[in-house]
Amino acid sequence: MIESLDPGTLYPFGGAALFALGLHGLIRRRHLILRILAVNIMGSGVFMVFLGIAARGNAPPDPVAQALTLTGIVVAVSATAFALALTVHLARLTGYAVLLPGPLQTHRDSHPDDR
Amino acid sequence: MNAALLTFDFVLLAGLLGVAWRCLASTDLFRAVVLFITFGLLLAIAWVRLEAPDIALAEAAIGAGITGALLLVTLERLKHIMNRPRTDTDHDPAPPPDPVASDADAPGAAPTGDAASRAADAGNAALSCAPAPARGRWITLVVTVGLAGLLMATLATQEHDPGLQPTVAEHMDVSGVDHGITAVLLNFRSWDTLLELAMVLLAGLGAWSLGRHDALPARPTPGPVLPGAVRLLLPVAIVTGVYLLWAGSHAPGGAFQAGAVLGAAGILVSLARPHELPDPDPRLLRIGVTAGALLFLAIGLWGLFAGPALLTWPSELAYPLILIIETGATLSIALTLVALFIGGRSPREDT
Amino acid sequence: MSTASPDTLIFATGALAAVSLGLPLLASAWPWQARRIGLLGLPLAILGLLAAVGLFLDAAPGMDAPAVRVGLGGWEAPLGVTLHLDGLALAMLLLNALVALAGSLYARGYIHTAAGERQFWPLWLWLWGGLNLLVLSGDAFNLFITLEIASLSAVALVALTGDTDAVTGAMRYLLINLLGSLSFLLGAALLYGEFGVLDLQLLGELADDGPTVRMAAALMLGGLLMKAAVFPLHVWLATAHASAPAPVSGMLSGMVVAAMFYLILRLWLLIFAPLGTPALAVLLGLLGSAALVWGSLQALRAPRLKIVAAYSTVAQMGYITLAFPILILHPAAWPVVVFFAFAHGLAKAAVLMAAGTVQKAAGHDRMNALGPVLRARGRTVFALGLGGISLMGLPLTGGFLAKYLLLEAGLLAAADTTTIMQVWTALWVVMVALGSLLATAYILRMVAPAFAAGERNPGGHVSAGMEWMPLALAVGAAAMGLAGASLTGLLEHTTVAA
Repeated sequence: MIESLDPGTLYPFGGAALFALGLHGLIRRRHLILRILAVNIMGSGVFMVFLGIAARGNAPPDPVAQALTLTGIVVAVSATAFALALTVHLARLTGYAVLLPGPLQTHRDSHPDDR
Repeated sequence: MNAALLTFDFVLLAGLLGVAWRCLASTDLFRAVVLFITFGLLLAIAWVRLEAPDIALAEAAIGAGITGALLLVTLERLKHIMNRPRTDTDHDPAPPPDPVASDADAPGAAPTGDAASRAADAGNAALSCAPAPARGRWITLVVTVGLAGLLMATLATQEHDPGLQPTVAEHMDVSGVDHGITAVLLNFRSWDTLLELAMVLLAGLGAWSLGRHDALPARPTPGPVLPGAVRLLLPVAIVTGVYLLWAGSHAPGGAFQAGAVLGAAGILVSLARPHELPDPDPRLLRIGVTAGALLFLAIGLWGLFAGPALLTWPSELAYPLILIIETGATLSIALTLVALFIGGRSPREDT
Repeated sequence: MSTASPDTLIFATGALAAVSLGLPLLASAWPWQARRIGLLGLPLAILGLLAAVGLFLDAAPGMDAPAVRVGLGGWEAPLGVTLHLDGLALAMLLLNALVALAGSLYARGYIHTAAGERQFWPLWLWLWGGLNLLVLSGDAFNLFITLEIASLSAVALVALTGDTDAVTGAMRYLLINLLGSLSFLLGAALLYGEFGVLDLQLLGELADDGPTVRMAAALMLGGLLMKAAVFPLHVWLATAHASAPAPVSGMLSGMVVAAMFYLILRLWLLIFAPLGTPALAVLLGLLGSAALVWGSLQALRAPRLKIVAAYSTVAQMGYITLAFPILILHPAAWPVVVFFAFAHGLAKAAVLMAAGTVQKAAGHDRMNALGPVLRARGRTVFALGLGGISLMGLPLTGGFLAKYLLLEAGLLAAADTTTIMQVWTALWVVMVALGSLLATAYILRMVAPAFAAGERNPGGHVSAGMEWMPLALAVGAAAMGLAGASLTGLLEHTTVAA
C-alpha cells in the first residue's frame, strides 16, 4: 500500500484538490484580489499535476513536463500582473475592487451620455 | 518508500491545502496576500520534493517573490485609492486625463457620492472585504468536491508513462546544453518559450495601455534602512542573476529565474526612491522590453530560410545562440517586471 | 501543371507564423509607427496568406497527408512543437485576415488621437497574430499559450475605451478567460499523463474512450465553451462585446468566438470524436437551443444597439452549438460549423462595426433615439440590414447556405438513427427555423427606424473607412452564399482522425 504512494501518485491528487479549492474560492469570493489569488491557486494545482506526472516511476523526472510548468508559471505571473493592473484601474474608476453582480450601466436606459 | 518521507508528503500537502483555504477564506486582504506568499514558498518545497529544483527556484523567485511584490503594491494602491477623498485634489492630484480614453466618459463620471463616508472609515477598512455569502454555499461545495473526486479518480486510473524523458535524453547531445529543462525550453520546444516571452511583453503592454504611471503609493520619507539594504543587495542580486543565467546550460537556473532576480533588484531600487522613479526615454524602454523576443525571433528566422524550419539552429552553434537568446530574454523580462511593478506607461510616451 | 514542392509549403507555414509574431513585436517595439506597421503589414501578410492558400490547393491533391506539418526548430513531434496547416486552418486564417483587415481600415478613422493609436495598434496586431498562432498550432500546451495571448490582448483592447462599463466588462472577460485557459491546461495535463505526448495528431492516434480522455474532453471543451460564451456560460459576453471600441467588438464577435469554436471542432475531429454519444448530443442540443432563445429574447429587449448585436452573438453561438449534436450523429457534416462560423463572423463584424459608426455619429446608441441618424446614413443602414439578412439566413446569403447545410445535415442525421433521436433532431430543425424568425425580429428592430418618416440628421463626422468597411464585410457575408463551393474545396483537405 505504502509502496504505491510514491510522490508521483500522491502529488497529482494534491494538485487536483488545489484546483478544486481554487475554483471554490473563485466562485465564492467577490473581491477581485481574492479572485486573482484563487485563479493562481488553481494554476498551482495544474502545475502540481504536471510535476507529479513528471516524477512518476523510478526513472529520472521528465524534463518536458518540468519545462512546461516553468513556462506555465511565467504565463501565470504575466496574466496575474495584468489582472492586478486592471483591478487598480477599475478601483480608480469606481472606487471598488469588487465585481458587483447585476445590470451594468449599459443595460439601463439612461446613460451618462444623456447629460 | 520510507514512512518518514511519506509523512512529510502528507504534512506538506495538508499544509498547502490549509494555507490555500485560509488565504481564500480571509476577509483581510493583507492577510490573504501574506498567506499566498507562504503558499508559494511551500510550493517551492513541494517542487524540490518532486525533483524539480529549477521549478522550485522559479516558484520562489517568480511565483512567490515577484507575484508577492505585485500583490503588495496593488494593495497599497487600493488603500490609497479608497482612502482618498475624491474632491481633495491639492495634496494628491489625480492622474492627468488619459488621452486614450478622451472620447469616452471621463473618469470623473464614476460615482463619487459616498466618497466622504468612505474616507471616514479609512485605515485598514480599505483592505478588508465581505465574507462569502451563505447563499449557494452547499452547491458550490458539492460541485467543487465532486470535481476534485472525479479528477482524482481519473488520475488513479493512469498507468505510469515515462513521458518524453527517454526522447529528450536521446537528443541531449545535439541540443547544445547539458541541462534537460534548458534543452527543452530553448531548443526542442523553443516556440513555447518565444510565445511565453511574448506573453510577458503583452502583460506589460496591457498594463501600459490602461494609463500612465503615477508615483508609487506615498510612504513616509524613507529611512536609512532601505537605501542601505539596496546598496548591499543590489550587487548580490546582479551577481546571482548573472550566475543563474550562466548556470542554466548545465544546472538549475536559466533566463526566467535570472530575469526574476534582476527584476526584483529593480523593484528594490524603485522602492528605495518612491518619489523619483526612474523615467527612462520611452523609446529605449519600448525597445528594451521587446528586445528579448525580437532577438529570439530574428535568430529563429535563420532556420526558416536555411531550413529545415523556423527556430532551427545548427547544433554546433546551439550553445552560443542559446546563451545570446537567454541574455536578451533575461534583460527584457527583468525590465518588464519592473515596469509592471511601477504600473502605467511613461507620461513621456504620450508626447 | 506545376506542383508546389513540399518545401515551399513548409516555408510558407513557418513564414505565416513568423509574420504573425513579428508584426505585433515590431509594433510593440516602435508604437510611434504602429499604425503604419499595421496598415502596411496586414495587407502584405494577407497577400502572403492568399499565396499560401493557392500553393496549398495546388499541392494538396498530391500530398500523402491532408496537412502540412512543420516541426519547429527542426524537431518533429512528440519532441518538438508542430505547426499544423490544413484546409480548416487556412479557412480560419482567411476569416481572421478579412475581419482584421476591415477592422484595421475602420480603426484608422475610429481611433484618432496619436496617444490612443500608440496603445491600440500593438494590441490590435497582437490579437490578430495571437489568433493566427492559435489556428496554426498543433500542440496542446502551445495552444494554451496562444489562447492566453489572444485573450490577454482582447481584454486589454476591451478596456481601452476607459469607461466604467468597458473596464468592468474587461475584468469579467479576463476572469472567465483565465478560468477557461486553466481548465484547458488541466485537460492537457491529464492527456500528457496518460499518453506522454502533447501533439494533437499523435494524441488522436493514441486516444481511446477511457476515463482520462473523457475527463480531458470535459475540461478542455468546457473551458473553450466558456470562452465561446455558450449558454449558460455566456454572462460576460454582452458587456465585453458591447462596451469595447467598435473595431474590437467586430473582431471579438466575428473572429475570437469563432476561433474558440474552431478549436472545439479541431479537438473533436482529432481526438474526442469517439466520445460522441446520443446523450451528449441531446445535452448540447438543449444548451444550443437555450442560448438561441435566451440570446434572441435579450436582443429583442436590449436598450442599446451594440447590446442588441452582442446578444445576437449569444444567440448565434447557440446555432453553432446546435450543429454539434448533428455532427455527433452524422460526422461528415462538420464543415457546416465552419460555414456557419465564417458567415456569422463576417456578418456580425459588419453589424457591430456599423453599430459603432451609428454610435460615433449619434454620440450614443440608445435604440429609441437613433431614428434621425439612421434615416440620414443609408450606407450604414444598408450594412446593418445586409449583415442582418445574412444572420437571418435569407436565400443567396452566406447565412442561408450555413443554415441550409445545417438543416440538410440534420435531416440526413435523422434518417439513419433511432426514433427517439429522430424526435430530438426534428426539435433542433424546428429550433433553427425559430431562431431565424427571432433574428428577423431583432434585425428589424435595428433598422426599422430608418424607414419611418421623421427628422434626418447625419450627426457627427465619421471617416470613410467607418462608412465603407461594415458595408464591405456585409457584402462579403452575403457573397459567401455564392462562393461557398470554394470553401468546401479548401475544407476537403483537413486532418480528421480515422
